[in-house]
Amino acid sequence: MESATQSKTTILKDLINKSIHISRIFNAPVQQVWSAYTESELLDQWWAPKPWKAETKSMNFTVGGFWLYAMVGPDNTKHWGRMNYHAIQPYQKMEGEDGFCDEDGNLNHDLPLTKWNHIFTATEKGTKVEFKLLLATEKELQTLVEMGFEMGLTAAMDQLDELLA
Amino acid sequence: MRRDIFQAIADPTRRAILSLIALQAMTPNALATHFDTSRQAVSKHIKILTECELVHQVQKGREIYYQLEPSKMKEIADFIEPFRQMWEQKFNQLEIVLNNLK
Repeated sequence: MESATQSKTTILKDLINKSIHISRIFNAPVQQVWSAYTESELLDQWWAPKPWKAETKSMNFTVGGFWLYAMVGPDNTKHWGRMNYHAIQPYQKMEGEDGFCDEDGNLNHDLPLTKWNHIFTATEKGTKVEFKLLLATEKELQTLVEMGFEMGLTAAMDQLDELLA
Repeated sequence: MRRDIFQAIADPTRRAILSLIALQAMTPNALATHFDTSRQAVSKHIKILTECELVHQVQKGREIYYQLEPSKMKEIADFIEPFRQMWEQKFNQLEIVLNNLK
C-alpha cells in the first residue's frame, strides 16, 4: 500500500546484528542510478542532505580507490568524508566503508568506520536500491545519529509507529 | 542507578537476552540454559537490563519471569528516526538528479 503522504524510503533496523537496511525504488534505469552513485558531479548534487552540500575533492571509483569529499554546512563548516571502495560489480553491487577524515583524506580513527553495501536491481517499477549499513558498535550508531541531528533533522513523531511496526 | 539504554544493548549477551524474552517471558533459570556463561553472569546482565528499564519482573506463582519493556525499545527506535529522515531526504535529492538526467 502506498499513499501520497507515505514515505518512499523504507528502513529496517536489525539491532541484534547491528545493521540498518534502507531501500527505495527509483523510476530510472539501473545505468543512470549507477552513474548518480559513481560520478562525483552527480554525487555532489544529492549526497548531502540539505542545507548541507557535498563537494568532491577527488574521486577514484575503482576497487581500492576512494571518494574524498566535504560536507559543507550553511555556515561553511566542513566535515571531510572518505568513501573507500572494496568491491565493485558494475550496475549490480558496490561494497566499501565510509569514514571521517581530514582534507587530505587521512582517516580519523577516533571516529568509527562504517561498512556498507549497495545492491541495484532492475524491477518492473524501476531500479531498486538496497543499502545496508553494518555497524561495529553502538557508538557508531550514535555517531551517525548525532551527525543526522547536526544536519538539522528532528524526529517526526507521526512516523515512529511505522518504525516500530 | 539510571543507566544509558545504549549501554544495555552494547553487549552481545544482553542483546541475546532481549531477543529471547522478546519472544516470551522467561524465568532466570530458563534464560541461563541458553548461555554458556555462569548463572551469576546472566543475572548480572539481567540486572543491568532491569536498571535500564528494558526488562521488568513479573511474579507468576512462585516463579519470577522477565518481560521485555516495549516502550523502552521504542527509545532505541526514536534514535533511528533522524537517520531515516536523512536518507529519505538524500534519496529525494537523488530522484531529482535522476529526473534531470532524462
